[in-house]
Amino acid sequence: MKLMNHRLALRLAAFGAVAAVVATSIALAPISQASTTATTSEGVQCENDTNANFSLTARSGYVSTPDGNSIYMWSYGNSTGGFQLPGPTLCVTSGQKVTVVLHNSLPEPTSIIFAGESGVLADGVAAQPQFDSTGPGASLTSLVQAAGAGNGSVTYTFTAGSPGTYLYQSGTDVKKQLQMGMYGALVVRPAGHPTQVNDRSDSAFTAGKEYLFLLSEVDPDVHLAVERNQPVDWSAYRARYFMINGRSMPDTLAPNNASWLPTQPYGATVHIKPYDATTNPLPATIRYLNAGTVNYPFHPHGSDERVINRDGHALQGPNGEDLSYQKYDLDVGPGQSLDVLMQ
Amino acid sequence: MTKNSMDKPLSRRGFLVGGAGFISAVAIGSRLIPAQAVPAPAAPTVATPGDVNAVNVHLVGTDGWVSMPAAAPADAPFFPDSLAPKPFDTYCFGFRNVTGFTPAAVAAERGKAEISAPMMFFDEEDEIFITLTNLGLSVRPDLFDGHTLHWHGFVNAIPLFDGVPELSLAVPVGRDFTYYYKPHDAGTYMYHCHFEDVEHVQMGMTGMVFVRPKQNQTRQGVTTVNPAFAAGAPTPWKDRSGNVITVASTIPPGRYAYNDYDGSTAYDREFAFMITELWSAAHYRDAHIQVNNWTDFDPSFWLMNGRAYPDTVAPNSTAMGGAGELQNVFPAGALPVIGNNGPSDDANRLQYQPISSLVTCQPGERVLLRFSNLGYQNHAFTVDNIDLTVIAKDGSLLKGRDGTANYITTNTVDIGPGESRDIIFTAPTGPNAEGTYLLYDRKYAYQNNGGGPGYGGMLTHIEVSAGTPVQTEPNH
Repeated sequence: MKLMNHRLALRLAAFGAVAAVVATSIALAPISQASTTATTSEGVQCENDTNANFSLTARSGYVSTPDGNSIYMWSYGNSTGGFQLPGPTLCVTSGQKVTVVLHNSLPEPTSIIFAGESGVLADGVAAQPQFDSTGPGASLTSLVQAAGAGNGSVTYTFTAGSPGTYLYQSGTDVKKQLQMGMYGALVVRPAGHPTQVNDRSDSAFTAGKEYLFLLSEVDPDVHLAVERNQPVDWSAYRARYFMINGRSMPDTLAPNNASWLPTQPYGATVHIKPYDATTNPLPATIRYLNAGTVNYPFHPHGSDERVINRDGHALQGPNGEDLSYQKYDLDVGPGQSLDVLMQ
Repeated sequence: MTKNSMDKPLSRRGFLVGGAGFISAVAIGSRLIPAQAVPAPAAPTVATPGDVNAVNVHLVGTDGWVSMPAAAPADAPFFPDSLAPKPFDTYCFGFRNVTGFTPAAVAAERGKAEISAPMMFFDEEDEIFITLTNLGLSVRPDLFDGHTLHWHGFVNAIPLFDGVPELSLAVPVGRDFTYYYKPHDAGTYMYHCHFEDVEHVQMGMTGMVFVRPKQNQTRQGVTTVNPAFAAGAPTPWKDRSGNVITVASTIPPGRYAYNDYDGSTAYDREFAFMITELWSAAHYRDAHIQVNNWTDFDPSFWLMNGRAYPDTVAPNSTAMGGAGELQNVFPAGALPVIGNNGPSDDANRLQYQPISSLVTCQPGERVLLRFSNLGYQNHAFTVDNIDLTVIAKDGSLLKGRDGTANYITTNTVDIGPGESRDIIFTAPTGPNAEGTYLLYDRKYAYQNNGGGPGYGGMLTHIEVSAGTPVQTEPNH
């Protein structure tokens, strides 16, 4: 059977990313070592800025799927670059002032919600829901101040909150724009500890062994209707493609910036060495983040993963008690993030 | 399904090569496994099925017919399936336990799959050999689907024994293969076929497997006192200063869910539930040589141990079997024919769904519920009038790395696909405690059979009665 449901797609992706790696690290290590760094680039690819100033442009573009399809999408791209899915991974430090300028080249207004952050300002005033009028009977037009269609812009600022992984996404015409691809990841690092997930020393990971799985889904009928400027029948919504970092298996296995996936720069392969208490005590960290509409249960074959952070908050008690837990299945809910240590 | 258009029979040579891989992988595997005290062996010891700690199980993978509740409405042409022999209505794939069977008796199980798959339970450090024989599909001889065993959640799985055919191998029709496991971590797991897994899992090749902790200080019923659980012995946990935490008081041999080092997971009775959904249209299409688009998944029945309510509370179809290794798998031995009018008697409806979900206990007893979800939906289990304490998720005790207990007492437990939960409740006591309590999926939209009237789906009874006999085996 060639048709895949999301479970198969996810499982394939999951074992591709984890179990396959076990085999790869045993059988194919000499081959991968012979390859150049560029063709094996993997892991979180951060958009960094010393002052945490970012400029994003909402754009349309196309992504390819392994069955040969090409799907019309909307997403955020670096303003000096092109369209990409998902949006750039913004990496900042907890307590740092973050500025994101959003430019809009889409045919309708769009915006950004920084879920999990507080005290967000839009053009210098509090980020708030937008209504078409004041008083009773007003209709909600956007969850937050938006950049207008036709090259409008808006500037969001906030102080980065507790260390962890967050979703940033559209707050305008959300059902459609999120499905169209308006999402990306925000990684907040603990101040002074770039190789820890949170402020606890037991959240350390090996530098470079940091991975992000941004999960999403696509109903191609919605995308075709938007591309053709036709109405969308949401009662018929049924996701047919399931993606990690904007790619479906086996494209998930391709390295970052694979030349044949020009608008899908982020891979999802994890290469790790086996856990060893003395030589490799911190194999890797994976940040799971769900931009989809249903739970996605990820199953690492052959290895438990320790959940140490949920939705940007360390799993600990009021006096620092360790409330982390091991899992062989990470059931990531919509909008939720789980940061885990591979063991 | 895999069409048999390019059938390439496995050559004897190819099979022998596979066998050599098996033996060398056993050697590699035992090196990878971190044993407690390895006296630096020059060559690793290869476990064999004749070892004193060995447990040998024989399963077959095949197809068959099962029965959904009799009152479920028809859903033409998918349900009931027109090809189904009386008294059945639904096509399935599944496993059967044939441990101890003669070769002729093994072959006779073709077309007699059961759902849920046999329930398996082992002790930590058992040397487990599970032989899987692929008997083929009696209704679809045009297919040459392989089968595999994937022990979901097994840590340090050797790829060859992980059962992912894309990464190792599958068992072709007419062949068998022996999987080897040595579990170090007590807990509740699940197993399933990983060959074309979306299809084979939905078709019924899903079952429970759980591992008993060393803290029980018993192996297959024999008490062995273990000094690791005496007062003052070190635990796996360290306080925040890095000091090893020790056992506070001697832990007596008994029944525990995990190595908790404090007796907090002790229980009197245990019941295990494999949670799945059944999509009648997919089962029909497999029987009738049609293909599915699995993204259309739209289940018709919601099952506990392969049965929908009210069948969930019907008794086990057979008693626990035999001595020795037959104690590790339920059901063991041939499934009995119950009715007086032969195999088609309605009394045999649940012949191939042998595992009951009825919970029975005495007031005040601690009852362990083991849930594993191999469906494709989240389910939220609840019991009215009884609090539930989640002690473990995914086979891991809810204790932090510093030993902080993080057990969660709640009335609703959400379980996602591929997840497991261990739940302990204390049966009510007092003048009005005896009686029936309901354990069910809080998602009421699933509380029916095929969209029909009345209660159905994932719902079962907890019968609290002072006269309940002592439990000797799970789900009994």
